[in-house]
Amino acid sequence: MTAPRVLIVDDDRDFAESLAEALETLGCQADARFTGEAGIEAVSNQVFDAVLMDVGLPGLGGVESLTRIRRANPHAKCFLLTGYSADHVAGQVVEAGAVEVLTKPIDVEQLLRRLKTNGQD
Amino acid sequence: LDHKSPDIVEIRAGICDIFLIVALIASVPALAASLYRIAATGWLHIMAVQIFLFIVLVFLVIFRKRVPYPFRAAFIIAGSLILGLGGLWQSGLAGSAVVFLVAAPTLAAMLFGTRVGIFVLVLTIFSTGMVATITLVEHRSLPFDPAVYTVQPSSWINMIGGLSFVTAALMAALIMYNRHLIAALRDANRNEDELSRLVDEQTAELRAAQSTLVRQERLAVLGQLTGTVAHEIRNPLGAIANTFSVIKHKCLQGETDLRAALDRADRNIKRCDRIITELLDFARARGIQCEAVPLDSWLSDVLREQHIPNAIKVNLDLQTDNQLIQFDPDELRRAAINVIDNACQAMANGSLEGEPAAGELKIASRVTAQRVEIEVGDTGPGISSDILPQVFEPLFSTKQFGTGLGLSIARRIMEQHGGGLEIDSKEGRGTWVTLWLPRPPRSQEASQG
Repeated sequence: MTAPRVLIVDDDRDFAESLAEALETLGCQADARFTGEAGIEAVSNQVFDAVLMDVGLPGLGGVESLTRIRRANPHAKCFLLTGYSADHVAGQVVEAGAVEVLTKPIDVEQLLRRLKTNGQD
Repeated sequence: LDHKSPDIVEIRAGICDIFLIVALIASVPALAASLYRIAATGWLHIMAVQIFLFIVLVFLVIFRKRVPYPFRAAFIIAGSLILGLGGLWQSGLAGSAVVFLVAAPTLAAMLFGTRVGIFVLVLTIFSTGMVATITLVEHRSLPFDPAVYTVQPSSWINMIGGLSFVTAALMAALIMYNRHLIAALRDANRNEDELSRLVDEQTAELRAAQSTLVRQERLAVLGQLTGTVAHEIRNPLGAIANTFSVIKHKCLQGETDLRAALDRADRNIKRCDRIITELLDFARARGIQCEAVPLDSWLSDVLREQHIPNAIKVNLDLQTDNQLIQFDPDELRRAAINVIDNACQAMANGSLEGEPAAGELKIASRVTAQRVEIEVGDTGPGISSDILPQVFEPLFSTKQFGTGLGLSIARRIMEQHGGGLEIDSKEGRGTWVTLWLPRPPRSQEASQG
């Protein structure tokens, strides 16, 4: 099985970079972007199997950014990331067309299992 | 209740009608007596008046609902006065004259109030005096002529009729007054009970609403606070967890270069710590302990301790001649650091992604006529005028990361010193924050030298 290609968009640079690095140590190809606009630009050049999008992004915002990303990359499994509780952003999940909400901090190994399962769906 | 209030007018109108009816009843025997007298002694002018008044009275009683109350009342008073004066003119103070003359001002007082009553009383006394004088000059029958009482039974009938009229009318009026008063009191009592019950009810409702509001407000603030804290802590916590996952796998693979990962973990642990400190600072209001501090060198030290990105140019403009100023150096440091942090972060947010924060941080100190000021200016994106008023609200933040407590804490510290914090910003131009302390009195300055 090929390594899942994952795009992480989060304005907390340390979080985005550490998550990308953690996923890479587990055998993924991970890219970190820090704004919604940069995330959209990333999917225009490359195809991703999964997108992890922070809800509270400055500028375009997580929901709008993810909506645009899904338009460009309809087969990617999309997750919303939040520091709040999952029900806090439940409405936005449907709006953005995400699979589910992941609450920070994330269990990276569990995330990887989920990415792989979803990848096989 | 005043004289013009609808209740009083209604009561008076009722009494007036009673007088009209009683007058009508009483005037029947009086009229009969007068007719008898005409038959016995011949025509008297007063009887013409009596008959005229009787006819008007009959009309008034029949059409009492259509004639306005003041006309009905005025008719009764004027009628009394005319009959009294007429009787006096005709037969001296004998017979019904006295009764009518007493009745006129009494009725006026009852039906129109004290002022009109006094006016009619004066009028009655004056006109009685006039009539009495004229009758004396003309040598007509004198008051209290025994012959009048004994010779003319009609006078007796008139007097008894008049007396019974006034008595009955007064009693009726009193009974009515009484009844109205009792009803009014009962109404007032009932209203008062009802009112106090309503007041009690509404007070209880208000109290309940208030406590609900306070509870909701508290919950809302608590919810907002916990939300902010959760978000603020979970981000660095997430970064730490990810980093540990990296470290774990690198260790398993025998890699030894863990410096970057450990630095990141360390940085984010400090971030968590800073957030918690900020929260504790906000919740804790410790008193200030002032000491004399040379402001300019203290400010330079504070800046040196701060990590300011290299791309940000620092422009120091210290102009207090290193004067000794009284303040709490620890607390003022917290205030200054919060404001300087905001300035640096504003410039970082304004820069493009991936690029280091750039701009100019201007720190100035000066002594004005009233104040000692520290000004912190940045060349960041500024704050739009519509959100400027909110920046002092605890938990309000324009930053992506931050508890929104920094400026509230800084302001509170300045206020504890008797000073304040002022903020001025132009969108696209930058933000200027002034921390000020009240200028010490001259004598104190001199002694500190």
